[in-house]
Amino acid sequence: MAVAWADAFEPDRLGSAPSLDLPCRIDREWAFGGSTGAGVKVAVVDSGIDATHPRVGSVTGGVVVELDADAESGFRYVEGRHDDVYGHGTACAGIIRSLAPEVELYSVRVLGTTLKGSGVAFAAGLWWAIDNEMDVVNLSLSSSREDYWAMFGEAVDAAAERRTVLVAAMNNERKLTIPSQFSSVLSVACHPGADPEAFSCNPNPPAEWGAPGMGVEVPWLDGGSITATGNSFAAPHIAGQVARLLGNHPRLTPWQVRTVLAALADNSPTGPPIGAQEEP
Amino acid sequence: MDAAGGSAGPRRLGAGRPTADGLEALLAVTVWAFDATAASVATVSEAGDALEYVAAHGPGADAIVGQRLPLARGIGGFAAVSGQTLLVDDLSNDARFARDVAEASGYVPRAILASPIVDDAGSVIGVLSILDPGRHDGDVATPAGRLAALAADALIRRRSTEHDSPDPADLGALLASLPSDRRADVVRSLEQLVRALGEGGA
Repeated sequence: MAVAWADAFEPDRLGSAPSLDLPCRIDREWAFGGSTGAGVKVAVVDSGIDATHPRVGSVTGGVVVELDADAESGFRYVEGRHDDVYGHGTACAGIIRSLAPEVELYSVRVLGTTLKGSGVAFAAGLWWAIDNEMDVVNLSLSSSREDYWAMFGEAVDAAAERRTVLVAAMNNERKLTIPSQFSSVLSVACHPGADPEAFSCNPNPPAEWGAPGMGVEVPWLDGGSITATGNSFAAPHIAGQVARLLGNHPRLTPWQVRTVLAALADNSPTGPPIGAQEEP
Repeated sequence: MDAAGGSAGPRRLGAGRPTADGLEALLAVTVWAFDATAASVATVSEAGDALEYVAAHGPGADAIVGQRLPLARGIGGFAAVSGQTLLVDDLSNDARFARDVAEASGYVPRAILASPIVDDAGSVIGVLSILDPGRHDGDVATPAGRLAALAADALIRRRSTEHDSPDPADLGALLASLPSDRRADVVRSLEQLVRALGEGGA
């Protein structure tokens, strides 16, 4: 079973990734070689992270966005340790950790136990990540409300200007997805296959990046795991790759990150598929 | 039915109701379309902190209708709070999966496809859960979302009916509880209201 947007990454539909005819190749060794993501700050904006889960390892810091009717903004930040309400954030964190084991993980909990104000909390969490100079932000959440374009637009632009790379999952249904569909955001959906190192670049977005997300076994609550399908689980694969890249090449802009990833994608005309031999 | 946590509550919102709003029929079609074993609809409680199961189809349906589960737990709760569909292919390792509750309903699912039910204003009002959907190829979340949209229509109709049509027995009990002089005033007011509505071209 699959979810929306995965069809764009079927081999008979996916074209070649955009490429540059560069005088020398961008290859995986240059991009990722030896990188563990050390020194890279990655925020997971989600339901929290269970820092005690063995597949997560540790969480450097974080914040809970709590709604506060007395606050002028309607919310307040509560910094410090917290748990994961649902398991979804732990799943994303575990995937990132599996690819970039030494990143500094930050949990930004924007999902609570009620429905009230979830959009406001989501946007506030994104701002916290930008203001706290995260290098990468994983957003396996989305909204389909058109009135959120403006609320998220300013934050998305600020992230691009400050070199914070936003990686966001497309909605699992084929409908408007905010903030994935902002052009500066790396939008991700499931592609075929389970190789965690593999990713694809769709030359015809809105779903621009493909990564494993169908039937993937992910960490969940209380040290457990589940097997789940969703673009939510594809996004942290790309976030993990970005973290590795920034580990070797700090301060790349989101546009440079995009160019490098396109050159390394499975369907890049200049980059070999995963497992293929390097040219002699 | 997402049985991850919670306990049976006193309210049985959907139990024994006629199927005029089509919700149960919709669930039957959902089960057929997804080659699933069961399906259910839960509504978000007025306080916004729980899911209340109002309709179900398939094994365990009678037991799950009327259940009230905290929104903070489980796959259905996540779908409601996040507003997005989630497919869990294998729940067997989920440490918080309330197997005892599922067993009490007579059916323990392995997989769940949970889709939020959203009203016209974009607010989540419930969750459609599909248990053990068959091995469909391709996108299952989008058709689940479309069925959830139909469920939204049915729920909105159901709520409208509940709010606009007070039970005559409740009105009678209310009148009987009033002091006799006050009761006469209320009866006169009701009679005037009925006449006015009739003159309004009903």
